[in-house]
Amino acid sequence: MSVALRRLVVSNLQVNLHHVTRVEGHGNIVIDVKGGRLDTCRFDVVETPRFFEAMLRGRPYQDASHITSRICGICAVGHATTSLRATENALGIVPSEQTVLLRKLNFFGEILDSHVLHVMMLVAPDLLGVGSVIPLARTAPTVVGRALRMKKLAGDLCRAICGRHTHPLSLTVGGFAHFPTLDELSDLRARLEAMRGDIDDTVELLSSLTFPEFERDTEYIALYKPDEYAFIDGDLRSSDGGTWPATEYRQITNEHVVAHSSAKHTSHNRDSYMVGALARFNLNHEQLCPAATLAAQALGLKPKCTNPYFNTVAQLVEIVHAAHESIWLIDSLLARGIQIEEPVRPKQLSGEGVGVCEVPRGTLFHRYIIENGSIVAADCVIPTGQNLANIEADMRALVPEILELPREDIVLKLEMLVRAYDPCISCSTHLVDVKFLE
Amino acid sequence: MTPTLILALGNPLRGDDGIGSAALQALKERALGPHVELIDGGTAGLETALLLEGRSRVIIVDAADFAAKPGSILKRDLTARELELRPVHSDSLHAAGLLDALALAAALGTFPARVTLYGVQPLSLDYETGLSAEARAAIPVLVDSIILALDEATD
Repeated sequence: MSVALRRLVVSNLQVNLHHVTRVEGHGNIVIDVKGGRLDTCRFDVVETPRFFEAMLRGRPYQDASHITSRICGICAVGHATTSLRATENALGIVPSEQTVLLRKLNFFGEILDSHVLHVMMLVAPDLLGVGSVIPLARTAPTVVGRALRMKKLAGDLCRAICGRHTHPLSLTVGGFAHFPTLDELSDLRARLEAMRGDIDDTVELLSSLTFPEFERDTEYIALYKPDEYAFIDGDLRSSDGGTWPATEYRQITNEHVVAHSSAKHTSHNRDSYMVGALARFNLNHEQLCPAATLAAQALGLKPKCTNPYFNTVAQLVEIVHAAHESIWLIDSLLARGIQIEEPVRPKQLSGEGVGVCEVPRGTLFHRYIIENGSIVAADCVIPTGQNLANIEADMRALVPEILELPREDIVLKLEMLVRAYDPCISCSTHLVDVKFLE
Repeated sequence: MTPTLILALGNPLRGDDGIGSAALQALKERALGPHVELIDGGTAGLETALLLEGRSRVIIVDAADFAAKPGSILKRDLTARELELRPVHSDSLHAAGLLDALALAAALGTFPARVTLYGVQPLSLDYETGLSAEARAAIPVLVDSIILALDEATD
């Protein structure tokens, strides 16, 4: 069997000015069609395991959020927050109302940053028919300028609350080690108000673009809270029916090892399930703010949506939600005033706790066992790992539908499918390679 | 007029990659006046493109491997054209770097009239704080050279 390898983009590996250290990683799409029949269809993950859970063992509980925020440079706030919630649940800590508000605001900053990057810089070039954001800046500078402004604001929002977006400093067990001033909050509020035009223009742009047509119903899993569109804490809910407390997460994830992936696969009611913005929208759309609901209507996003390419659209709806809710949160904080609070102290130094959050790419779980203030066991299940089996199932359903297309188009559609999930593998690798086995 | 930007880049936790931030500290001790703005860009992301907007002069200080003796200084003007022609290094953009940000500014048409890179050849980029003796020794020369260039620019 000969293997024809098609590299989509020639990576420039000359490292003469680039000194930013990157985590290495790779995802490969392997498709083998024999006699018109799909024989092999895999999404290989060949990244080296990173052993964060082992790194946590023996470390004091205060270090956990700082260590685990390094798992991801995009959702560092998500990992830190999930980690803090696991530790706080283990040690009997109930954070103050102000802490809850500030964490939520911080979280929205990260949702905005991550979603803007994905929707406007990673996906928009596909939809507008250019190779990447650089040519897009030439053909549509207003779109890219808008994205940069929105990303900058999201970063500044995070910076005001947690010191810096990547690997936050001031988030700590039981509270905060630093507080934003009322002036900083007022300034951010004004900028968020001013961003509405940019958001409206983005909704208008995306509603005019065509996404690939492809439907495959799957099980959608997301956190659920009775009183809000859940991002931090909540119960687990499935579109196939059923609600579980977060502590029971292993009943949902059922992690198992597969030969072709160094990341474990997960499955619950079916062979695979999906987490992320589309799953959240499908399960919790009724809790979106009115502006986000209007945006969903304008974008043609209706529950239950079973087209995975629309995950990007759901992300844009969440951008609208996060921007509006951030303004509301800032108003609450301005009305209450900011108190300089000491972090809440632990009730005990031993215990077991689970933390759950809906980070940009889906449901994130951290579970720690702490003994005398030291972590003795840890488990982290990340969203991309949970989506891998579902990406493969989508590819298995999609490939027979598009086999008649020219190879270029097949490759583009598969690549766009993987990209729609906003997988974190693309954090650490340059691009997915598509291999045709013949 | 928008002040000249001196943008230091690099990660001080990676040995000599901290040269940019160390040089920035040294520059802060010299009275540069209101026409110069100093920013530590850390490990630059795409938003760095926004910092360039409306500027006519930008000086970038970073560690750079140009296969020279450790501590050697490279001074080079960067043009919008060469950056635009350069193949995209990171198509993920989740970990975009300086050159991606500069290429984006070039494509957006906001690339400053003059961008000069001062690169210092590192000895070690290991996980450690503090500079090698070679990189440390380069700082006074580097700072003098930048100040001289600033004077030329304002003449």
